[in-house]
Amino acid sequence: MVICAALAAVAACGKDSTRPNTPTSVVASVSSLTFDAVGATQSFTVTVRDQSGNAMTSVTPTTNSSAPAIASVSGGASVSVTAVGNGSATIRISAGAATTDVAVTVSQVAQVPSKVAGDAQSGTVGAALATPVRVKLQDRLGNAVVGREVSFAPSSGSGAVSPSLVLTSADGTASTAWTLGTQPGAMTLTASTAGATSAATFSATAVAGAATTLTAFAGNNQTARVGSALAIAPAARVSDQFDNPVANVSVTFTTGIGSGTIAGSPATTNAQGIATAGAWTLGTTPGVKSMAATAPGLAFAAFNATATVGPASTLTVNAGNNQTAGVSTAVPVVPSVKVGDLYLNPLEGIPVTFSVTSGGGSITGGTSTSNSLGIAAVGSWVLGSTAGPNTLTASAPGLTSVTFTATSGLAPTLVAVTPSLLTPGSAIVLTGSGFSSTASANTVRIGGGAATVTAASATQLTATVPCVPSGAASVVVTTGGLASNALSATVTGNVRALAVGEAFVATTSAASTCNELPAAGAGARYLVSVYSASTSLNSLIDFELDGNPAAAAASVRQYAPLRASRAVMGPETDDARRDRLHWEQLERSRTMGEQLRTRMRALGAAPARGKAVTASAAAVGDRRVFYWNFSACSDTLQLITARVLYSGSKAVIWEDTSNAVLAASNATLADRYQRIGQVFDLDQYDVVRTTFGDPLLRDALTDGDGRIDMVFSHRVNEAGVAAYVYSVDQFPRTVCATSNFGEYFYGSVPTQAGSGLESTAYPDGWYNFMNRTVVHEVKHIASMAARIANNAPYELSWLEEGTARHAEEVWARQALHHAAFGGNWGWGTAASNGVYCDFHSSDATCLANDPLRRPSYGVRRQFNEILPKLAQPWNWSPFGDAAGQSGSIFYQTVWSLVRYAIDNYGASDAAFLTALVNSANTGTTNLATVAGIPFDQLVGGWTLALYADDYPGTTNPSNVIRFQTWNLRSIYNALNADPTWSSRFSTRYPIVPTAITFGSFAAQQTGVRAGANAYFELTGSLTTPQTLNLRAIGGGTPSSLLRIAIARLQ
Amino acid sequence: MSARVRLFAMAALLLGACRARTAPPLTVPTSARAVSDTLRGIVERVGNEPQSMLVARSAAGKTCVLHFTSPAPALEGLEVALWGPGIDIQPASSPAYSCTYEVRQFAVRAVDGIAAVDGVLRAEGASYALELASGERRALREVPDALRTHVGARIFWAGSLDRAPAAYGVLSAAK
Repeated sequence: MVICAALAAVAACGKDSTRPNTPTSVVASVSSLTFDAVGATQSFTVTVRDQSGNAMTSVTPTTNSSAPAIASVSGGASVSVTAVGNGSATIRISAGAATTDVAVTVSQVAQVPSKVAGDAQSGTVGAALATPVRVKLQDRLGNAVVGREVSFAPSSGSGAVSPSLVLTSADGTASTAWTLGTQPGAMTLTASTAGATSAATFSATAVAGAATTLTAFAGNNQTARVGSALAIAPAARVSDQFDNPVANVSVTFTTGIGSGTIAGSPATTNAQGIATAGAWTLGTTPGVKSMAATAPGLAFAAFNATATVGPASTLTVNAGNNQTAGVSTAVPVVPSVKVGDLYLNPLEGIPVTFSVTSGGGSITGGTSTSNSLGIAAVGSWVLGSTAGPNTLTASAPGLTSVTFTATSGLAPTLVAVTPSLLTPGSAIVLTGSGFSSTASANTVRIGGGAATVTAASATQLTATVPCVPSGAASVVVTTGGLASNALSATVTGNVRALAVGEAFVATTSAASTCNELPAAGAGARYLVSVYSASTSLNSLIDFELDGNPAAAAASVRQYAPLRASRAVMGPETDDARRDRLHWEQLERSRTMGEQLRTRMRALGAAPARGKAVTASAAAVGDRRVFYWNFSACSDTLQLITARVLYSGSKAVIWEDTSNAVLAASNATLADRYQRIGQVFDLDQYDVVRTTFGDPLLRDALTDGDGRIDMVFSHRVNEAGVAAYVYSVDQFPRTVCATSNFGEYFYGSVPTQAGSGLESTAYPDGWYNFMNRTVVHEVKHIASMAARIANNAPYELSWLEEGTARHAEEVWARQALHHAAFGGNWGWGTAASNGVYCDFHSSDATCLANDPLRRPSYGVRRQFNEILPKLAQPWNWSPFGDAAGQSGSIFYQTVWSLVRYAIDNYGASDAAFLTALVNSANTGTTNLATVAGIPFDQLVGGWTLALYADDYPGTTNPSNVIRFQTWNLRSIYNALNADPTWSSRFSTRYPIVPTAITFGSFAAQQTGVRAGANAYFELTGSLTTPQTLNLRAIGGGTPSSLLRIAIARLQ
Repeated sequence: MSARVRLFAMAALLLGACRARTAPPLTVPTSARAVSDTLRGIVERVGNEPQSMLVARSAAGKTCVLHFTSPAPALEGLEVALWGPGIDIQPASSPAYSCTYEVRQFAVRAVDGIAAVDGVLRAEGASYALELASGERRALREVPDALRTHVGARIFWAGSLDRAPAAYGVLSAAK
């Protein structure tokens, strides 16, 4: 029963008459909507129907947008849709389970682009406008159109834009840079976009750019007579980079030297860019004339014109007027005239007639035609037989004639010359008649050279024999323009007969002034060194070296190029700077030491053993605090904390614990410190001790540790030096509060890890430089110790530093090169471990030769850094840096001088150098005393040897012109040929003497510094004796400080 | 204050001044005494800045440390007369430095044994003259080309003024 009732109920559900109405369909009045602007709204209606198709007005449908950012929707039966952004969306309307969709499309349509910026600008042709042009796109409701392409297009001739297609940004704008066209004027550009009915048009005005070019516009390459104006006034045009004319530019017109004058300058350019000058009046000499138009910042424009000579207008005396000659004697100078135009420019081919007009003389060649120089000369003019005035007239058609005057008279008579054997520089007496009693009114020539007349009467003259070649010489007196008869005398000069390889060195001024080389035939070659015997560092001397008198030799007098000192130097090299600062420090040390010695005496303090900072030899790992005493005794604020890295038999190596690169963290540096200590213990201490003296001579009176303490600190780098010693350390702290009291030297340190053999910044390059620096510094300690022990003054710094270079050299020769004293050692090879290796630090063979000591500068500095001295020998004194100079070239210069002295006057390096150190003398006195010869002679020989040493083809050279230990030619020839060094050593040999051919010459040299010299190399055919006459520039008495040295090379 | 006391006080002040600028802290010994205010000798450079020191060594062997109140002129090697206050700090027989001088004036007397003068080089048209310290102008002949660019500088000239110099040089640049 229950089941039947349920089934009946189910069956009843299928009947319409029994079910409620439900929404079955939703119908929109539109199926889709399209929008052209954001913000636009459209509406439509919706009908909901039930299952029977009846409208259900009571049912309100719901609406929903699939993309609210594109379209928003509201309403129910009446639906409103608003465009929000470009794109597509679906509006869904729902009622119950029934739905329908309406498609929505939003696509903004841009209106005409609106101009935002950049319109109506003015700019320079070819340049971008200051403000980029910018447009904005909007739809019809004024909303920005984003991401839409805008095309910018300049009209023809209006330049270019970049970029040309631009998408609008978030604010609807798009911009581009507009570069104007190259011609001045109005320009336009359009900005358009798809869909817009028209484009936006921008305008701009282009003006000419800055002036860049100045050119000759008119009036160039004209021709006119000298002194006249050109037909066309010069004009120049100014334009910009696109050749557009530039107005209002001031142009200055300037004529060249001798090119005349120009009016109307400066002139200003007009609208066509043209500036026109006034008339250009040419100069008064013929030829090409020049003029330049200039404007600020522009290259000048050149104008040329040709000036031609004018018609014959002048006849003037050329030569031979106002002469004196004996009666019935031809005047010595043939009279001649010059034919010229108004401005005396010569005219060729003009006939000139000469005629005697008074005095009764005669002529030959009375008619002459002017030559290319405008000169016409009479053949000869013999004066009349009566003493008195004579005249000669020259005339040419249409020209004013000229008159020559001559006086005939009686010439002086020369009877005797006493003595008959003449010596240059000596006095002679000439007797005769017709002389002037005024000495300067007489001229005496002997062998063509002018003798100085020192006393005169009508019958006797006293004169000084000039520097003329030996042999027969004609003696002539000229008084009042009349020459006497000639007498023959014999001159005996200071003949320096030298065999090849021999030398003469003058040690007095008298022996230097006039010297003579005997005739030697073809192929002779002499080296002449003129040097200063001054020892005043800043003194300069000028001189002239003259050859034979011009009249005595038929040759043309040569004028060798003037050489002059230059005070301005190039940049200082790092090595040179270190040397200079080191030298300054040495000077401080030396003077400080002298003062401290004085003070110690003043205080009554005996130089006894004091309380030392290091009481005994330090052990590896020990730490100590030292005073940093670089500046002065009174500087007590700066301290160095250091620890011992090496403690050997003679060396203790201390490392400043605040160095940037420490041995503890750098194996290479640790190794190099050890090697410095080992090398010192193995060789360097003994080299210094045996060559100069024991650097520990006073050790028992100082710290008594029997060691040299080497403190390596960055403070030394910061002071700018490579290393230094300081005399204060020789004194107890009761005398100087910051004395470390002992035998100390302070060295710089590498500042970077890494590798680089030619840089002291790296441990390996630092070692390359430092290992020979150690022996240099310890030499200073030995020198100081000896001087203090002997109560002798310290050596002057120039000699102290020069001989410290010997410490380096002796060590390098003994320990590296194995090259004995006097062995004439040359460049060598990698295998020989010689000089070659000193200049090639990274050569594998060199490094393998001696892994302990290599790489090492060895003697590189001696030969390399002397180069400025060799290139300009006259400009570098051994006595220090002269005022205005830097670089401490004297270190090497003095080394070279002392090397020469030892080679020639020393038994050995040790004998000579020990004697220098243990002397109570200083400076030149010390050096000359130990050498056993005058200092002048030492310098003279040294200057010869610097050039003549191992000169090719010089057989059996005297030791005077040799360095016996070194072969300079071998070393410098090799450096010139070495690819690594040839750019620096650019000549076969660095000394280049002034080249002179035998005969008559005058060579001038200015600014020879103290102890320096100038070189002359004389070559050619020496068929007659050659005089060498040292004079002041211009011919006066030379400086008494000048000396001469001569060597025959071939 | 007596003249002797004034001089000693001045000398003590001088040492203090020298110490501050260049020299080590010397103590004036009780035996210190003022010395003549004139010294003649050959100048040698014995130090550079900041301890710029020149010494003058007299023919008698007395050597004095020189101090200048302005940059030192290029005097090395020249024989000069010096004026200024000085003090003895050691007997004159000492081989080391025996006195200190503050140079107020100097005059070049000789160059390598050749009599010399110094003064300011003046141009007078195409000619040249040496203006001595007294203000007197002495005509120069044959002036070296190298000097002609130093008109206004203080120079030295060795030898006769009537001819080319035996040696010459610039002591201090034109002001």
